Amino acid sequence: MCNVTVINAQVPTTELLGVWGEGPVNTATFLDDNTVLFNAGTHLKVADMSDPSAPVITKSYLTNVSGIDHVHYYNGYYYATNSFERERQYYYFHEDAEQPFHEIAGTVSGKGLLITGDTGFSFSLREFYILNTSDPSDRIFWRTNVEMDIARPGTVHGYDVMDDHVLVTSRQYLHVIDISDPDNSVEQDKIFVEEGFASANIKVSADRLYTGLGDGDAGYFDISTLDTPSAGCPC
Amino acid sequence: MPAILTSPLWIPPQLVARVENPNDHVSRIEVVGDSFFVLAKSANHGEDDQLLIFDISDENDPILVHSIQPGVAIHSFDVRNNHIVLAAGQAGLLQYTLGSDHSITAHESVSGSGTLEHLLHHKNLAYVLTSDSTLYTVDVSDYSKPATLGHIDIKGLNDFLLHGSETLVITSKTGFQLIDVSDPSDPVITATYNQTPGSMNHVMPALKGDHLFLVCTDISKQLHIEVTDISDISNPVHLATYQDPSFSSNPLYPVVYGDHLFAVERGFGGEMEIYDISDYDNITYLNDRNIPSLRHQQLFQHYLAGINDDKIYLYDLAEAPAITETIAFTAENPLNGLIFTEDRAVTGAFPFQKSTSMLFALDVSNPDDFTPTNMVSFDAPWPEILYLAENSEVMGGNEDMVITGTAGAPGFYIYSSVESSETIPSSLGQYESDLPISVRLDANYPNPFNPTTNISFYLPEHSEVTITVYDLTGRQVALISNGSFERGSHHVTYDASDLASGIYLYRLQTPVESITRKMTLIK
Repeated sequence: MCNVTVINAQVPTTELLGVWGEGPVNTATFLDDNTVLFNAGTHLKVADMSDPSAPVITKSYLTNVSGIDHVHYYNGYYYATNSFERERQYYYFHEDAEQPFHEIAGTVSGKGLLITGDTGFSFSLREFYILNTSDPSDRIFWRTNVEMDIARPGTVHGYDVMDDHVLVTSRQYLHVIDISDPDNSVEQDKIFVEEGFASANIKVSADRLYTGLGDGDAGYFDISTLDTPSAGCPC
Repeated sequence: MPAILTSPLWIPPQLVARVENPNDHVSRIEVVGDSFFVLAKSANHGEDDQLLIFDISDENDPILVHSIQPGVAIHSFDVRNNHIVLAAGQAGLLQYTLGSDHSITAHESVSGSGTLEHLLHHKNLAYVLTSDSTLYTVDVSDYSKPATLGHIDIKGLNDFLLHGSETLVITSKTGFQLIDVSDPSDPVITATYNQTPGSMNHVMPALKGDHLFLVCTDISKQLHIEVTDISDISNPVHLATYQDPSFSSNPLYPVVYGDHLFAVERGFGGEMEIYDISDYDNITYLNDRNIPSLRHQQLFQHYLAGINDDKIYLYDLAEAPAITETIAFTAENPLNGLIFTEDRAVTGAFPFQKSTSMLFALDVSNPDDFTPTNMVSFDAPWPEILYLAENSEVMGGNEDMVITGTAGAPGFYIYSSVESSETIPSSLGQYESDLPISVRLDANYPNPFNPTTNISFYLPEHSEVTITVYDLTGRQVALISNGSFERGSHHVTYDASDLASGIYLYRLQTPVESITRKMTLIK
């Protein structure tokens, strides 16, 4: 009987040649009218869906990001956030880079990542981040954070950008962040909203704020009054 | 500290309209033109998830014009113009178009994939059964780019085998299906056969020529052996049923050699039941043999080979019903997966400690002593380790490559071969680590557990420690501990009352090290 129990640490490491099977699709986003970026397990994929009857995968990247829950593309860079880490991270790589990609950008939460031009936004439970994304290869990635006055047990739910302000929803409040000077962004106001908020994203369009409500329904608010001081305004 | 309020106190926004959600909560919303899209999530059943579409052209009177309920969990969605895509987990990427009359048209989906359940490798093809009851035919001739050729929905699954090179037999709790894979790009179900005893707990197949033997155990652990002629793959013909009401057994995994069927019991203890099947109308129980509980049992020459813990066992079937046992190989860690190529066996040890796993290539010319010809350790980066973990298996391979996969995790991996012409002398002895004592994460106890278990770890110095729990898809399901710990041994108790039964991974992370182990929750 052979009783070999050798583990020779000097033997060469074997090489991963290929992978089949991707796993579940957790997130998808249109890149343009016909192109969709989505994840399939740890893969990022791009599908041309100009002919809905015959979608075609045009790009597929194997990443090492597990639990991808949001994908994003801007100016040649793919971004993925996950729900895998205690503080969600975001990962990025250039579309021409060697895969897999495994850069972890800074220590900022990647929850709700949105990148517009050289500015990005994300948030954690009680902080909102304004990011300098002009050079994604720069690990010093964040510009400033705004610690918001979130009534516990509430947490940040969603946000949308409105000119020089960002509207952020938490459980019972609408927070207004002034980003006109991004490096000195500040929570300008916090407005109690009786109906409350719940959805992971909100949309602001033409004086309307669309959201999930605290009681499980959905609805939309008139926010044209936001630039109107109340009678009790001390200003 | 919160920011100081510096601006006017604005008038609170007024709710214009509310739309009702039949489910528990709203996950995401989108607005495109006059359409308001609301993802209504169910807290309990993903199949209840709906995408609600409201016409808000009269914003004071939103009207529900459609709801899309695909019957699977919807994780996210996006809309562009009239085009809707749903991220639907294992169901993939679903797409719909919204007509001007608010009609919905479903289009071709982009597949995701279920998790791997079984894999059968034959020449340049891998046949893969996934948890969503799909059979995939995958071309593995280009090792770097395994490509799906075709797929087909099947009826449940227990196990499968290849009949000849062009027919798959896939068993389920109710019987079997025959799949013509002569054209791998277009697998076709040629027959669905429901066995006479009805639904079973386990239905495992074995072949003797064109005769298919289904070894079935029912809920009361009673044994049935069904014999079917499958020479005509479109018209299987039932030949005989063997039943022994006095016999009770855990699931049995059969192999056929000559005129004998050997059914290996897999459970807390092992047993091999031996039957004479020379006359299928008169199947005869011969005797049984106590053996260890075997996994990955298969025929190798005239041996039944299988793994128990760190050993490969061989049972010589040539003189059946007399059986002789040989331990052909012993490793340091539990083995998982076993394949035989022409003159080699390949098996793996996936200790799930840190990221180092081992593959062994064994010279099998002497069945009394499988000699290792090469051993390869490989360090898998996270999250690859998810698929190379303790329950990872060697599932296929040839002289150039090895296929590994993990039941319950997506997909499979192809690694370069561990074959070598040089025999490694056993005098190499035990590997003695020259690394300094490092962080250690011990196996949880008890394991399996319900619902609490203890997790111990050792720190060589004061450190920040995070211990998190993940499911096999990599999704974090719990944070057990997060804080500073002094040098020395520690233990934490984890209560998994809010989790479903299954295999979970727990991961200890320090600023310099990450270790992951597996635990099993059985409720």
